[in-house]
Amino acid sequence: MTNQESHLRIAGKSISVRRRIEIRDGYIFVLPALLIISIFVIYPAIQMFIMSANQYSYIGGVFTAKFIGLKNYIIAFNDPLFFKTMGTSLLFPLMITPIQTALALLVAVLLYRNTKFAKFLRTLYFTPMVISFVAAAMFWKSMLNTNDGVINALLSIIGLPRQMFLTSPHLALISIVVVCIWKGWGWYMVIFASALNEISPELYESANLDGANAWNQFWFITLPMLRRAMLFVIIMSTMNTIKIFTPVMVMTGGGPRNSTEVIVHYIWSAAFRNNSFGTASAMSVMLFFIILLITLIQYRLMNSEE
Amino acid sequence: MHTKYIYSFVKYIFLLLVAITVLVPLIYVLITSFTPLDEIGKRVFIPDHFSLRNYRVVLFDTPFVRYIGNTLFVGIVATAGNLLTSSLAAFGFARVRFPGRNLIFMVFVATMIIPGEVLIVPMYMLMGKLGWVDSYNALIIPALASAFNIFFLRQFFLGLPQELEDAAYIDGCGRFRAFWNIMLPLIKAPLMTLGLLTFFATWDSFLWPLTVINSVQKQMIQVAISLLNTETFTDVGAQFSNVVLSSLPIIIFFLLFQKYYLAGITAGSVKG
Repeated sequence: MTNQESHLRIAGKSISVRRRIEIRDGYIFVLPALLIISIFVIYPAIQMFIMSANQYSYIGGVFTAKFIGLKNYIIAFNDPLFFKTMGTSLLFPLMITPIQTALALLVAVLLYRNTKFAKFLRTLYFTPMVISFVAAAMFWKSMLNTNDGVINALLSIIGLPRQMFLTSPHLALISIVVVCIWKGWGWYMVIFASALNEISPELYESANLDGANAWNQFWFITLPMLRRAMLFVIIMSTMNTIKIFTPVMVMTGGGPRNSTEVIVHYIWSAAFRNNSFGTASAMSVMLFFIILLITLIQYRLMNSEE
Repeated sequence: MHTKYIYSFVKYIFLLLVAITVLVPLIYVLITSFTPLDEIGKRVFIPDHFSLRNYRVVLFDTPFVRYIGNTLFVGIVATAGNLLTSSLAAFGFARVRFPGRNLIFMVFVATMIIPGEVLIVPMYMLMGKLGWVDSYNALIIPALASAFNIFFLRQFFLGLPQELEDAAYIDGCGRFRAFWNIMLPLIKAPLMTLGLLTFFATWDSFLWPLTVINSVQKQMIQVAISLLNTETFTDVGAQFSNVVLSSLPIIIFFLLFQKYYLAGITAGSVKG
């Protein structure tokens, strides 16, 4: 009896030692990532809020902080350019996302069959996505140049007047929108193409038997089956276009007359050109909440699908 | 029958137009990069002569090779480190039970909502405190783990059979040996995909190196080529050959590993 008891105890103890080793191992596995993410994501995220309540002055190579409460937010709210740039950044997804999504969906559906030709075209359409945004923005800037850009040269060949693509406030914004669409739509096309591949061919076979035409098949089978992919594409495209920075930085620098100034570039300039780190942080906080709000609304929509 | 022909006709015309819009700018860049400086802008497409002058300027008169070297170094170190850290954490979250596991994982997932762009200002401050401004530490160390990669790899570790892991323990392996020798080789394909996505992201990174790296000699390729685009540097020919040369490695990479790369895009939808 006693013998058996001690045996059980040893067994119990050996399990708990094993369990303790498992717990220790678990922390060791997670620790490096936990350190990196805590120090370089969570800490800066908290710091952003603290910085937004401070004023920073740069004296003798050192930043000194002074607590000023909500004053940075008041400065941002009294800055008409802040609202204008935020508006431009929120306008981008409204202009870019519908066109990108529609183009990506249309081409993916047209290239539905997995022939060699379709695969070749998909790869070809994807190339603007592979080259960097800096490179793309650079050659588009040169091509859109008013005096010696190739697009204006082509326009004058067919007898049209030269356009100030990047130097007139109205056209500059449209030029950036076009470059963004050109650069990004291939990515979403690939997402639609893979979602299309997952639709069971039997659905179309039975629709054929029922005598449904191509349009009805698209409307009643393809589109409903793609709803998840569609929402994903819309969310991705919205998020990516709100945060646009590179094409503005490279092509216009926010000009002419701030017509292409976007929020990320505005925040960046406030911090690193004007040393207004506090105000830049306050604007970052507001941008964060706007993005959070849009994310939550879109996730709601997505979850209501299921 | 007629409508069917009209349909395919319209379809192929449309696909052709899209192909032209996508390709013509790229072909124009390629041709212009071989155009002598005094002919750029004179002819619309095909120049009278071709020359390698623009490539000579970029390769021999600018530190282009150095920029590529810098970017490869940062990209390879950051990618290798990130894959190691992220797969360790992913294994821990998927296959080791410890108190606080779900809480930590949920915090990680929540951080994915924070866009990197809003953290630029506090991150720059942090780099100042750590003395990492103008140092590769600032580019590499914060990139050594990412919540998305952990989230992504965890799914694959969850899908592996428990018997494989148990067999390793019966053979006397510790948990780390089991992870490294048995489990990690089984998720090679997703590791490859993530490695490519992480490396491409480093290669394309612009905002962060622009902010934190000051020395021209230390610059990453994207910032370096964007600096060619200023009032002080007006060599249009060199701009075009720069675009071609800096895009070439990544296009070759893409064509070689297309399968893994495209798998990453579609797997990204898991995130949503």
